Amino acid sequence: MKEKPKSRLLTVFVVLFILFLVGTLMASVVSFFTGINSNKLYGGEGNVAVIPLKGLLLTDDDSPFMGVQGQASSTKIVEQLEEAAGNREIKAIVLEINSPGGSGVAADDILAAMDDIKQNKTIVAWVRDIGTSAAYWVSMGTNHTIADRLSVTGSIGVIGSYLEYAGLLERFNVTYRRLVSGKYKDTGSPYREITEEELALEQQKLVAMHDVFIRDVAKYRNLDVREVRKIATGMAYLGSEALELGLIDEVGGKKEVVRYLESHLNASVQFVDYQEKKNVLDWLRQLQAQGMLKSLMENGLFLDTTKVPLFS
Amino acid sequence: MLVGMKSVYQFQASPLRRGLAFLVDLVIMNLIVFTPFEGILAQYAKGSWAETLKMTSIPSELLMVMVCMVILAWLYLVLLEFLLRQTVGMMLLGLYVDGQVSFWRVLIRNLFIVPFFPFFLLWLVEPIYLFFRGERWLEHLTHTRTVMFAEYTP
Repeated sequence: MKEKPKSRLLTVFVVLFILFLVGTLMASVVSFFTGINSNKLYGGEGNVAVIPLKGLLLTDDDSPFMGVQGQASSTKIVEQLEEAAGNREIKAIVLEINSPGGSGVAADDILAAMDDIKQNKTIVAWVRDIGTSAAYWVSMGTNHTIADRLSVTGSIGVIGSYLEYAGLLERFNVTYRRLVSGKYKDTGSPYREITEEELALEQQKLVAMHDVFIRDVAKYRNLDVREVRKIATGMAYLGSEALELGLIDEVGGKKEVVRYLESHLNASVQFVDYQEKKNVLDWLRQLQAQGMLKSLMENGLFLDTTKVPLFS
Repeated sequence: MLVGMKSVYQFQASPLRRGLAFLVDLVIMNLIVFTPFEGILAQYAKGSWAETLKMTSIPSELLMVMVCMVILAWLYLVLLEFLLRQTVGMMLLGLYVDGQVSFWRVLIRNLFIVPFFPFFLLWLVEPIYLFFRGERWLEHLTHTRTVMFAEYTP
């Protein structure tokens, strides 16, 4: 009781801070062992769910690209879509797109989920700066696509390019000792030169994927396949160009999204952000991942040998 | 007693002040100690009341969360009463813990926070004892008291 008020207050703060830290740790441990993810708490007050699709789109967020740029995981997006679909308060969904594209499988996952959901709830794609390739593929699956006149969209194509180090290795007298069973097992390995035959095979796969993409554009945008083939050069279009080509439904921004939804729902629109809350452990994990990756790249130890063709 | 000198008197704290102090502590516990568990608890609060009432037993995950929360709430009261002889609520209302204060005694005097059998019986025993005797039963057991001070200048 004779202590100074300042030191008493400090003690209170220290005790509360320690208890908060211990609580956070306990909550994380409970989440880990029980499988209850406290981060998956979506929603709030509102009738329109806003689900972000930002950064490189992949199926999961533990790929080698993690931490390099903002990344969208199709698993999480599908989960958020299903959550919004099951929420009686939510009358419509806005997919806020700002992505250069990514994996075709990830786009396919989201499209499949949206095909069911959009029968009962209106889904609007709102393209911000960029919504190209796989991200554009996803946007087609919604009921209505709105993009800014200056945003970049389209880019209907597939890319499978990679860096080949064969020349560099040869220059430094490093030999790639080829040990494979199955002659195409190491096709696309950056340590050796690709053969003409392999190149043709890889190209065939890309063409097949491109064809699926083109057919989907024709199906979802109600266009003629031959017309789509003409514009499916991999070129990205401005929002205004995309509207003329029939790749989007409307040019505009948030105001147009609200107007469309209000006319469709006959009610005023109140947005709810469907974003995962990050806890202290997630934040530390992300920092660690970014730090490790940065250090590996700075030391030249990071070699991306994934051969997944990307729609970006 | 010299005229003009201040005298400090110690009183048994009134139940009203004690109740208010505990309410303040509950708010602080809710804000700081329980916040990390909000997300997990919300997973269970998603269903309707009818669904919640239909639950015949507490799921083991929820029980685990409850145990963690009880430990933290208990620690909040124990650490502050042991280190400072008052919690934040008591600070605001000018109350102190007096008597033979030790860690174990403070631990026992705050056992009423545990919501499991047989401790939740204390939620009935403690207010009744406080009403008739001016102190809680656990305070009586641990030889501690909750007091307030008043200054008097003759």
